[in-house]
Amino acid sequence: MIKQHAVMVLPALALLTFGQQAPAQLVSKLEAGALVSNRDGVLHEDIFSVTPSVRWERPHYRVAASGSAWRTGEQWQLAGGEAAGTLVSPKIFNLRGELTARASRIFYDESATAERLDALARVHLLMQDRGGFWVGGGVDRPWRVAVASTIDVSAGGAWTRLGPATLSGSVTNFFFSKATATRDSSGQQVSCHAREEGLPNTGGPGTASTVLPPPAARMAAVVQECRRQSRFSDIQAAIEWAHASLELNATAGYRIGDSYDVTPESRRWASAAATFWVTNQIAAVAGAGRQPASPAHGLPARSYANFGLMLAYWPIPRRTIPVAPRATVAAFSLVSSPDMPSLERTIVIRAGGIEKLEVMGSFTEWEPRTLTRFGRDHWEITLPIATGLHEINIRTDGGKWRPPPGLPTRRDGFNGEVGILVIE
Amino acid sequence: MSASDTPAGHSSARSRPVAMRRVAALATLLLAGSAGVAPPIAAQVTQQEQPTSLIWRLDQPSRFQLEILFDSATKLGLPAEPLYAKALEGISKGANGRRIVEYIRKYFSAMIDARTVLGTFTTDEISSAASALLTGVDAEQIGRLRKSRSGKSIALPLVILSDLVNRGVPTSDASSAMVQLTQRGALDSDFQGLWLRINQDIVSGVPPAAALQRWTRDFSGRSPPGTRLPPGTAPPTSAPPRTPETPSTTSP
Repeated sequence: MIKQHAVMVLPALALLTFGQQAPAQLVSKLEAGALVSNRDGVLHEDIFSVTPSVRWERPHYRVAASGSAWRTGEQWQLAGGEAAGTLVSPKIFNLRGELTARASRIFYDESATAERLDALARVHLLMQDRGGFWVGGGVDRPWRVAVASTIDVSAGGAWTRLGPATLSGSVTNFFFSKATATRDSSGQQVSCHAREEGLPNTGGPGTASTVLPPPAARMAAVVQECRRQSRFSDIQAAIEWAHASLELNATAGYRIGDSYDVTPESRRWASAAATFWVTNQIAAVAGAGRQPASPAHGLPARSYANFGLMLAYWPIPRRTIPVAPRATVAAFSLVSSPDMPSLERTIVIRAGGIEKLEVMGSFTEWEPRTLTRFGRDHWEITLPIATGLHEINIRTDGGKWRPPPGLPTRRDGFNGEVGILVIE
Repeated sequence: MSASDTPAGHSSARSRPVAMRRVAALATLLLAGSAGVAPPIAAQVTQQEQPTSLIWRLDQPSRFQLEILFDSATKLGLPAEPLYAKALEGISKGANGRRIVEYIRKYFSAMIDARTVLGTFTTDEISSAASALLTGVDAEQIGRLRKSRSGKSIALPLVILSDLVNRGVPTSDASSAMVQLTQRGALDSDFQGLWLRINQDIVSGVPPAAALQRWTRDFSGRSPPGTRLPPGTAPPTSAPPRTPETPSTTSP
């Protein structure tokens, strides 16, 4: 058993060891820590979980895979796995299309096991990477759960950046047929049909029917199946705030639907999480909250708390923003302190969604120098820079040399521009 | 381009027409080139470099032509460092030798013109003035700026002038705004603060010329009491407060 999980965890560990030599678009991380979960009506679970994930990202597509293994008592248990692929269209008139397909398996215990395939298309309206709107829809096909049909999903949302914070809100509608008893407490009509083992069905889903009793001799082989049309909507708001090495995010939601589809414990939920980057590859993570029931996974509502460590070669981008924004260099500043030698100054750049950041200028004899990342988007390098005017350029992921934001610029004579740094 | 602030110009050069200076410089270049001798000062510049320096990535003919240009600059009393730094920049950005030599020649020529209008100058001033000329600013406008701030460096006003012209502000509007600000006693910190405010406006969608006009008009001046101001300029009052949302990104 342990060997199987080692097969899953070791590749992720190996990817983490590549450090700066790894391909620029490769994303990998490994989370390990304690998880305490309370599923209503079920015993508390205290487990140690290991969650590796890996992702390959290009401008117009992404592929990702992740898994998780839990250790409960003396046993390792495979908790699930997921593989996903996304196609992203070029931006035309601030519109961008996105198509995602995903296959996943979840295994909590014998009573909560599910596989699903889902596909979701979205159209994003982007407003200069400062905010945007999106609408989308898709289908979600689960197996081995009480949801008997494909789930139709439609959704829409908006997001915006306010300083270091990102706010988002979304509404997601779910529509599906659910297996149920012949008469449920809601009093709504359900469709039932009889199915005989080894024989074709005598009725189909969605037909309000009266099923003729089967021949008495074959009564034991007949299964009575009833289905009910279910729908509910999730309204969710999220905020994410990041400063230097600390990231905080919080989510709250409300589920709209009748009492048959939405149990009281799934009506409202909220969660919060904090990530503190100890080094540029190691972060301490902690979180707690309540999650609503997931019909596609067949999971009931549950409360949870987790804490642990995350090892990341390159962290997964923030999830508050529903579309991966292009790499942006948000801020540039220069810092010096009395503790530093007189000529030395630290260049600090905030840039998210990138793998490598370089700087060069008259103070480096125009030799590129690579900055070190601290946390998700905080980059630094300390260099000797004398007083006076200096020309400076930066580049992300080996792209074009550009002036940093917030500095005056001039043409460089080689089809580009340079920023002018003033050291007093 | 870096940091030497030692005055290196000659005030006598002010009286000479620009064209004559350029002819003299080109004649020097031709003489040096036709002699086929590597000038000793250029050799000093390159001999200080290790073979690993970027300059050694250039092909030999281009390197030789650059050495001639560096040496010519030194012979004319111009600093060779800005030219050398520009060459390194071109190499690092993947420009070919021919392109680099072509640009350094243009830059050198602009430095000669700049020296004529600046008179006494620092390395930062002459390189900023040369860049401004290459951006499209007139030598006469640079001369007016020099006169309006005699005794103080005009390197930063020139940097901001080039930036504004580069963003599409007409050169006459941008240069007269810089002259107005210097006449009102604007310090380098005022120019930096002003540029940050203009930049914020431009990022918010305000046309660059309108942003410049607004912030130039709003600058109330720093001139000491009793200073006679040119007609049409605002009376001297206290300096505008620095707003917390526009901290200097360049001060250490």
